[in-house]
Amino acid sequence: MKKLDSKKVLFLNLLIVLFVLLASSGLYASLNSQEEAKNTYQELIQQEDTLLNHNGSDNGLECFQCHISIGSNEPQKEVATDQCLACHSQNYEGLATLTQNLEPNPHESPHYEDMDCTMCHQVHQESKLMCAECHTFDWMEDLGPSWLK
Amino acid sequence: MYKIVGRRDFIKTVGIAGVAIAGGSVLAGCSTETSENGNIKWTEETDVLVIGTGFAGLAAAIEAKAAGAKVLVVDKMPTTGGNSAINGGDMAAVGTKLQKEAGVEDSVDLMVADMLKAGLNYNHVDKVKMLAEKSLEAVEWCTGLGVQFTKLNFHGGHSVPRTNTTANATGADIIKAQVAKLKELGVEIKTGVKLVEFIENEAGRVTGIEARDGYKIGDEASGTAVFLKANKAVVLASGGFSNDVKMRTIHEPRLTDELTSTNHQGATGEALREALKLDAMDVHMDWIQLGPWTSPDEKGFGYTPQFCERLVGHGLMIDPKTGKRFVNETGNRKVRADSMLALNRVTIVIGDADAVARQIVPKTLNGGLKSGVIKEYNTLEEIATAYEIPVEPFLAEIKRWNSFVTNGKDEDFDCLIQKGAGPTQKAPFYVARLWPKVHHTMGGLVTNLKSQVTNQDYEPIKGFYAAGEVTGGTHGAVRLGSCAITDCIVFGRIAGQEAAKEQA
Repeated sequence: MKKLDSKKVLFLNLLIVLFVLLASSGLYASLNSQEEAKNTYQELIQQEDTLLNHNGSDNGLECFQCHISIGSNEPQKEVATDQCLACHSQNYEGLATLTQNLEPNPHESPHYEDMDCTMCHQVHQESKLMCAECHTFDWMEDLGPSWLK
Repeated sequence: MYKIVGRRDFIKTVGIAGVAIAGGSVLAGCSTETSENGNIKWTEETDVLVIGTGFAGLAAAIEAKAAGAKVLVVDKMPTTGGNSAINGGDMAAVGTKLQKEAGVEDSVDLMVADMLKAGLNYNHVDKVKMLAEKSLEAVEWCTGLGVQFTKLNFHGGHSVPRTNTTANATGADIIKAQVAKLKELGVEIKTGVKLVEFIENEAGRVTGIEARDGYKIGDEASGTAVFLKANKAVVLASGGFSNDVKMRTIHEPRLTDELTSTNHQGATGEALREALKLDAMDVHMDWIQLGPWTSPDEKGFGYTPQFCERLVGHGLMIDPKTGKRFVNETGNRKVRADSMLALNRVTIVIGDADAVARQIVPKTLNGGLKSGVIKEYNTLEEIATAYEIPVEPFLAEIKRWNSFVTNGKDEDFDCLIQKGAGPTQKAPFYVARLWPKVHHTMGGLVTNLKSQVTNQDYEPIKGFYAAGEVTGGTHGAVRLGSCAITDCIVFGRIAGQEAAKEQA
C-alpha cells in the first residue's frame, strides 16, 4: 500500500467522521422505515395478491424476512438469493435435490451455475422461467398458476 | 480533438457527493487513493479490470492474473457467462486431436481462406491469420482448463470438418472451466456491476470506470455508483448487440423487433457505445448475422440449430410453396438467411431415419420431438400434406437430391455432400421449420493484434483493450460458424497478456 501524504490523512479522517455520522443517522432512518414498512405490510397483506406466489405467506411472513440487506440489516427492495436460501434448503445443491424428479432439473442448469432465485421466482407478480426463453420442457405444463405461461 | 484537462474528473466530483449521501455502505472497503488531481475517490482498485464474463473476458482475466497482475472481473448480469453460456460449444480449429482422429486434412491457409470467403473479404486479414494460427493453441488451452471436446462437427461454409464440440454441446462447459480457474487463482468476479462510463485521465489514458454495483437487468436506476480503478488497463469484453433492437435497426433497418434473437437478454450495445465516446473506431456495424437454422416454433436458440446444422449435407431444405430446394444447405449463414428472407416464408429441413441416427444427438432429437419443433412422419407424402407442399414436384426433387447424394455432387446448388451421407429414403422422416433469428454482430471496435482498441487517429487508446464480439473486423461481413469461440479465446488471451504488461 502506498504511503499517504498529510493531505490525504486529513481527508481520510474527515471521511471517517462523515462515515460515522452517516452510519448513525442511517440506523435511525432504518428503524423508521422498518416501522413504516410494517404498516405498509399490514395494508398490503389485506390485499389478495400481495404474496401471490409464496406458500409461506400465511405463516406470518413479514416484509423484512426477505427484503433486508444482509449485514446492515436495513430494508431493501432487492431480495438476496442468500435470503431465500436461509429458509429454502440452505444452499443451491439442496434446491436441486428438491426438483430432481424434473427432467431436466431446473436447479441444475448446464448453462448458468450461479443463478439468483429472482431470475425466475417472483413473489408479488407471476414468476417467469428463464429456461423457457429458449427451451420447452414437459414439466413446464404442470407449473401452477403463479407461473407465467 | 482538444481535450479539456480534467473534464471527466470534474464531473465525477458531483457524482461522489451523491454517493456519500446515499449511504456509508458504498464507501466500505473504499481505497483512499485519489486521482492525479485529487477528485475521484475510487471504490476499489486493481491492475487489470475486465468487463464481461464471456469466453473473451474470462480468458483475458486468466492470462492477466497468470502474468502477475491483480485482476477484477465485473459483469452487469446476475450470472457469469452471458451469451457464451448459452452458446452451442462449437470451436473451429486447425489440426486438433479430433481432426487427426477423423483423418481430416486441414491447414491454417484453408481456414483463413474459408473465413475470408464467408466474410466477403471484408475481414481484417491480419486478425484472421492470427486467429487461425492460434486456433489449435486456443483449443488446447481450453483442454488444459479441463474442457472436453468430444465430437468433430461440420459447419456450413467450412471446407472441411474442423469444429470441436464440447461434451455437453454448450459453451458453458468452457465458461465453467474458466470460472473454476479464476477461483483457483483467487480472482474475484463481481456480477450485477454495470459499466456507466469509462474514466480517462488528462493524458487520454483509460484509468477506470464508473459503474453501478447491485445493478438489476432492465432497471437502470438499480444499484449504487462505484468507481473502479484499473492501474494497468481496462479490458472490454462486453459482447455484441443482437438484442439491442434500437441500435441494430439503426445499423440494419430490416432487423426490427419482428425478428427475435438467439441471444441472452444482456446482449445490448451500451458498453460499445461508451467505448465510442473515447474516440474509439468502429467497423462493420451494419453487418449483423442472422442464424438460418432457427425455428419460429421455439424461442431463442432452442433445439432446431443443432438439428438443422448437423443435417446439412446429409438432408435437404425445401421451400414448401414449390416443393423444391432453394439454397446450398452447406452455404454460409448469410447465403442461407438471405435466401430465406428473400422467399419471405418459412422453409423446412428434412432428414431421414439414417441421417438422423447418424447426425443428431438423442438430447436434441428427443427434446425437439417432445416440444414439437421437430416432427416425425412415416412417408414423404405425409410431409407434403403437413406443410401444404405440391406432392409431385416434391417427390421429384427428393429423387433428384438422392441422385446427387449417390453421385457425391449437387448439380443444382453445389451443396457439400458429407462423408457417409445417404439418400433420403428411410422412414421415419424428421422435419423442422426454419426462420432466421438475429444471432451475431460482426461489427464492433477496431483492435490491433495486441487487442488494443484503435482510436480515430489510428493510434491505440492507452490502457484500453477489447476482445470478443464487442470487437469488429475479424469476421468481415459474415462470421463463419464456430469461429466465435476461437476469436474470443485467442484475442481474449492476448488482451489479458498485453494488459498485464502495462505499467501501473
